[in-house]
Amino acid sequence: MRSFGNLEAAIMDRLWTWDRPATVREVVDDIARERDIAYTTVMTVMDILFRKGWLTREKDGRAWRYCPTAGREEYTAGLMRDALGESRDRAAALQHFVERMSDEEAEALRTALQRIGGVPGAAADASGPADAAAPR
Amino acid sequence: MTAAILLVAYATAVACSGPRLMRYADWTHRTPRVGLALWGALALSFVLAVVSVLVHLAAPTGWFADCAGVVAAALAEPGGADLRVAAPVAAAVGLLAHVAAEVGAAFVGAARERRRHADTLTLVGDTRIRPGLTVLTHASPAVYCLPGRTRRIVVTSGALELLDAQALAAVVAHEHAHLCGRHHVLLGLAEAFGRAFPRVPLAAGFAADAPLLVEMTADDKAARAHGRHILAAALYTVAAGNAPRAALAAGRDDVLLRITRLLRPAEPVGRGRRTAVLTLAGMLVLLPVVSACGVR
Repeated sequence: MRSFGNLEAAIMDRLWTWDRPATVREVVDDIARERDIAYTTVMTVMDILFRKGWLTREKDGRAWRYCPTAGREEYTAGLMRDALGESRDRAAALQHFVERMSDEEAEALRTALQRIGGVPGAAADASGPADAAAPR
Repeated sequence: MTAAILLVAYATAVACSGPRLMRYADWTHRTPRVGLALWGALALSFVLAVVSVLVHLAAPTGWFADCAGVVAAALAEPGGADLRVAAPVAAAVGLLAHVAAEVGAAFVGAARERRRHADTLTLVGDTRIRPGLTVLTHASPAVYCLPGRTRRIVVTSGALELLDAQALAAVVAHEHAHLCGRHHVLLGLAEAFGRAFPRVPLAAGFAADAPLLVEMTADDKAARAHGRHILAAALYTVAAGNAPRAALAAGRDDVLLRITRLLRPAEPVGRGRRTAVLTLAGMLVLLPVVSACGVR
């Protein structure tokens, strides 16, 4: 399954870009412009994607027409929820660089940083609630 | 019996005073790795002390080797095991199983979550834009890493827009430090310890402090390679940039602490003091075992 990762990505990428239902043949023809690919391989992987719930399909004559279940943006939004800690229940699953803040918090941080000498870019504009967050 | 009483007193002291001492220690943020080592030693020492008490109650003979014999003999009694031996042994085994179950749940849960995340990432993320990075098309700046077998460093297109090449290199170095240092293992253990002993202040303290100390460890490594000011600015940029109104309030103090620490570094902790703390950590682990063995 792991080895299909790249092909899965290539197939999903096309279906998202085309934004219309497509047959295995159409996908094979497009991928074949970049590299050699067997029809049966693509068919198998698209079937896997269907079974995983990434694709839906409906009969069109003798062939299936496949279509992404959800847009790329929706999956990305789900990943961002993971990444920003909103949907995590395991602290060790992902490690993000820094938590994000609301505008008010960013303002308070900026004020606090000015007192200690400031960060490039952070010290530029100075008006903010000075009592919001003092450095410990 | 003396040993059992002493060990109970010791375990209580470690559980209640340990976290307070760690909180007041002014050096943990200056050398976060040593701080983490001492937290870990306190946690291990606590578990060992509790187990030692139970073993000692079952077989107050002195040495563990003798204990095994006494316990085996008592459990093999034809008329059924003596409850005074069986009960503490069962409690010790139960306690260790409980801890092991929490550790297992933490790692299995995290691995499953990462696997699911990585599967989606394979299809949605783009690895061609920047070598070594997976790029997500999203306006909000975010950078994170997926440790373990699925190891990847992920940045959003929003973060790429805000960070220049130097800042990005510093951020990536920070994430590499997480991956190379296997910080997820440590965080998993701290979290499992916290869940295994939810009412013990030591466990809650370790689970709460470990994430910040881990971040500081990674900050230090990135700052050494790319400069403190560059990393501090990158932290600020990612934390403050484009944030939605729905706040993640928990992080603010930590961000301020990390940035302040980078911009105004305190005197580094001397080697002598670091060695002293690490020696203390080693002794904390050995103490309960030795005292259960040596004292009657």
